[in-house]
Amino acid sequence: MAILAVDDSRIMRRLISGAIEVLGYDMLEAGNGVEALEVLEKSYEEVDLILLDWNMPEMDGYTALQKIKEDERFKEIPVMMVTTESERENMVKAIQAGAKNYLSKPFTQEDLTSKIAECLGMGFE
Amino acid sequence: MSLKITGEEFNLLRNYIRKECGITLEDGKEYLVESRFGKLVAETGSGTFGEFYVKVVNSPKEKYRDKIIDAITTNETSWYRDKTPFVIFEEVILPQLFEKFRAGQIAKARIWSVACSTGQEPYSLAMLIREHCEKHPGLVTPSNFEIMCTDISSSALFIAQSGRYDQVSVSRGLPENLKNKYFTQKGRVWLLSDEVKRMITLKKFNLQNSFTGFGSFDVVLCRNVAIYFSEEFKKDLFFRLSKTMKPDSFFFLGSSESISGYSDKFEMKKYGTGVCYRLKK
Amino acid sequence: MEQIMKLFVEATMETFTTMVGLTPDAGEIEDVGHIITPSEICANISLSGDNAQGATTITFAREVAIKVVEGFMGEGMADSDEDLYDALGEIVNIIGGAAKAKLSEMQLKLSLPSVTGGNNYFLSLPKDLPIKKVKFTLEDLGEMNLIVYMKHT
Repeated sequence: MAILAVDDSRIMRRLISGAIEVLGYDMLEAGNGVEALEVLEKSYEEVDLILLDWNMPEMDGYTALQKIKEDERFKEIPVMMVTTESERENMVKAIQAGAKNYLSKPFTQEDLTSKIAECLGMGFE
Repeated sequence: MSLKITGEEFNLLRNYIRKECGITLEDGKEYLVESRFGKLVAETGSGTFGEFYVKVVNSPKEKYRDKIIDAITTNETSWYRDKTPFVIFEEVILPQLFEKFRAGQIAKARIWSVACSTGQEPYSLAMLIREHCEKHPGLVTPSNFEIMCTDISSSALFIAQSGRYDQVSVSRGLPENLKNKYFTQKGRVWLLSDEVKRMITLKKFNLQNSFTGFGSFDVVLCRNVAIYFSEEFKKDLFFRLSKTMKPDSFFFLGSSESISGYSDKFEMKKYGTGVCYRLKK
Repeated sequence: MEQIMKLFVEATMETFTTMVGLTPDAGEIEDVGHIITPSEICANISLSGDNAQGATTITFAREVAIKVVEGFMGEGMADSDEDLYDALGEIVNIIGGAAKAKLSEMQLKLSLPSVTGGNNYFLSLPKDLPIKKVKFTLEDLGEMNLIVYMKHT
């Protein structure tokens, strides 16, 4: 039971790891789209959710999202964008490309944790 | 181009939202729908808000209702956010309640956290109660208190129920001594003690629904909830809340909120720099 | 430019209240010349679109920067200077992102953030452009300056 956090900021990945740990999941990380795909190649069977930043070097999040959705092995894994790209059209674009949810920065830690819980289908009663 | 909503689409959607979710969006809140619903709209494969509306009303209620609610409501909370209600609770309310216990006037003190979100508000009160009981040993114990917590967001309630918080969440506004006393650290996760968790009951609840069966309360906290509600709904909400309140009870709103114009059942009382409302006699 | 600056101030307030855990007190919007003498550390990000180009900088004393990052991370001092700079870069990235969303009609894109530091250094910003500054008081942590310029046609 793992969540893959993809963001070029190590600090942001650390913030996200707090929420992931609270929910009892292991964390896998990647600093850009290319690394994310490499991690998925190795470990996709354990990954229950992908958190994807947008602006990253090598391969941005939107491109990574498209590649994830094109791959038979990865496409069923839910993806949530976690990004500064908060304009409506970007949100719509990402959702249409297959992202399940969207969290724009800045966010509270509680929002982050609740939205991850929501993506994983964790609900009350 | 970002997806825009027309006046007509906005009216259709907000009628639906008011009916099904009890949340009213006033004129000028089109931007809210555009920003919060963009993803939901796209998710349904709709190209316009009109198409989205049609999909939503033609689907079983449960399909979109929760998602719409989650999209609109924000979970912004932190421990002792706007400390004044907690100062008033500790310095004014608890002593008064303890007096009532000692005088045999009450056996149980009941508190309602109307929008408890991920749990910080009710757990903060629970910790204050435990502290007060410890400082004044005797007749009153934590089991003399009941804290009822409601919220509309299932995922937020899930987190509240778990009592698990991360480093960032426990570092915001929670006094160090309380953190060390009532939490255990496991790796980077802070676990709230069972004794505190046991003090609250959680309930998924839409404020539009009836409060029948909730009983009456000594303290009601309705902080930063009414933000999206219409004038009429606020009046109705505060009226129905006032009916759940015992004489001499206390009512709290968020620091930037005010009750004036919505209810004449309460009078404002200042305690230090804080404000709360007492039910009028 | 005044209106643009207001949006950057809003973005800064939102970022600090949700992610640093404090409510800054924003001062008045001031005009400044193109040579800036920043405090010990500044974090910078550029924004550009087809019809607009600009940048924003947040600058503070090192000890204030450290405390801001502690608030951001919710734990003790970042393990290293590298973490400190990464966090400051992320904070200015978030401010830039929030501001650009408020300026959505400009269709701006963000650059990668950068962090500069030292004593007795200056920033020479584009001349002939209005440059705005707002001083923030960060509760009892200290002060921070926000500097913004934006050229748009």
